Amino acid sequence: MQLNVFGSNEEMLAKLQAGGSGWDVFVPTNYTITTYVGEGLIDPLDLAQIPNYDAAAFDPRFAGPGTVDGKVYAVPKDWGTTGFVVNNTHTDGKPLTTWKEFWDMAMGAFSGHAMVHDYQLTTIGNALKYYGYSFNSIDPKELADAEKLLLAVKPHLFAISSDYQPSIRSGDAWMAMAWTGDGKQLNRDMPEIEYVIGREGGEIWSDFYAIPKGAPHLDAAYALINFLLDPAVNTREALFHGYPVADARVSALLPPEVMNDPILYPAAELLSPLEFGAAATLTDPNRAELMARFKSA
Amino acid sequence: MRPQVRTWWFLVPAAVWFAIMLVLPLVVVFVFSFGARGPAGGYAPAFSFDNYLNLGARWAAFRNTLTLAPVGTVLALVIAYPLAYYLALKSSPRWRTLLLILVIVPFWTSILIRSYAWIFILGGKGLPALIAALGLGQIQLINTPFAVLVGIVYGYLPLMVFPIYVSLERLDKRLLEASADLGCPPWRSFLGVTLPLSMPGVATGCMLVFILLMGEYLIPAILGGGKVFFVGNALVDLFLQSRNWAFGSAVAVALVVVMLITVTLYMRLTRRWAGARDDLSLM
Repeated sequence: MQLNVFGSNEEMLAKLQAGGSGWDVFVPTNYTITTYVGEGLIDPLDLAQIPNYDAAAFDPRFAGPGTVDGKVYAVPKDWGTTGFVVNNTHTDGKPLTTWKEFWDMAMGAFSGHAMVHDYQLTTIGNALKYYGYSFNSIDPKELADAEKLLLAVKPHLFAISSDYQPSIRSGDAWMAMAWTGDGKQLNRDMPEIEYVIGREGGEIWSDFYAIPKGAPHLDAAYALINFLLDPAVNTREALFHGYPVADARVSALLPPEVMNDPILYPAAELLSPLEFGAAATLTDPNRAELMARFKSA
Repeated sequence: MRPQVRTWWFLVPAAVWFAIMLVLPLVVVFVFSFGARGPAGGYAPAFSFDNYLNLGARWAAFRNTLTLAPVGTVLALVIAYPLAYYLALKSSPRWRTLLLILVIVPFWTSILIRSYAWIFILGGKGLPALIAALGLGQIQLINTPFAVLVGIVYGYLPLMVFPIYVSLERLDKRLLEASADLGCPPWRSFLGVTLPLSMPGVATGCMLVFILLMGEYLIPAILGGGKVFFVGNALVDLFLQSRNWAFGSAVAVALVVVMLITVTLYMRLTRRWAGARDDLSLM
């Protein structure tokens, strides 16, 4: 098996657009699927070849984006939130709870020790939350505000990278934008690392298994997806990666301490303001160029 | 005429290779640079100069490249020259081959892994911890231009050592004896004989390192933490993240032009510096 890992959905889309990826299975996030369909980069799945996929067992909030125009193009892998991890040994006992605090701390007491993703969706989206705008905004005025914040923060950042675990673990970085599973893994190994979902909101997302058009080993692709969706296998997966799974059959197999884990299954009042990423953010030229300008500034 | 025809035939593989792998892609990049970004990213045909007019948006990347590439080249030279000098003129012939192999040994491991190792050496628990333990204060090394320079010098040192070594090794030792006989102290022999005769190696090494550095991507990405940005990093972003192939092509063309200009200037300078001697043909 060969595996490619990308820091963002955008980079993965670029590889598929360029052609010749040679992939049999790939894992896109909810907001990208309509674009893959529109660009003719994926085919509908033949669900007869994935008997382990039981649509009725999946929470429709997380399975829904895989269906476009009534056809199932992708089946859910796992879901999660985008928050941030903070090393509480540096917060003087004051817990952080908001994106406003994340950015203010990054420019203040945590100068030189904060990280943001190398990913337009989350870095721009969470900068937009500083002003209370939508995570998905493509409004030019609101994006201009987000850019102002990002450029002001940049000199204070430790790094711009989606690979933040090593720096958090070494103690170089004290705070980083993070996804559920990384938050869980870090907190499990280092209890002083806390996973925070910004009170203003931010992102909730769902990742999927899909098959790119022209996949060279179609049978193997279906066999792999079917295997991974076997509830027993999926349960072991979930225990390893620390992301929640939308399959009720898996939830039934997971131990209660996992189902009650506030990192994996946050309180309803934290979840309700979260937004699923919007397709427009993937293709919006202004967001793309804003991120590139922020990085090359 | 026949031998000449035969020679031409020998050039065919190289010519075909260059046409397909170099000329054709360059033509594509040139054409794309006048196009537009497609609605979902990628390339859409168009004809405008917008991409070139927008080049100022990547000024910081060009500025970083045009400062750190020459500085990195000079640092590599300053460190490589004494090493090459020792290897060629001072080391015992018995050990020389072994020492030369030691210079190459790092190439046996991927530059990616070797650069990654520096993350730990320059990270908070590495050198800075040692410096703090010695009471010299808290400093951050990783994700700074300094870290990128360390990575550059480390990664490119062998490319600088070898051309200089070769030119010093071919040096006619009798010239040094003559210089000593005529009353030159060692430092004057070095400045008057050794250094000028090794200039072709220095020029070749600098050229090799400088040209490769202008297109560097990996070292700033790994040791710069996304904060020390080269044109190479801007290009990767434009083609992969923003998927603006048209603007990316314009930045690529601009980089080629900048490189042609700096390399031409450099060759003019070294030629003038080395006087009218023509053994710079090594380059």
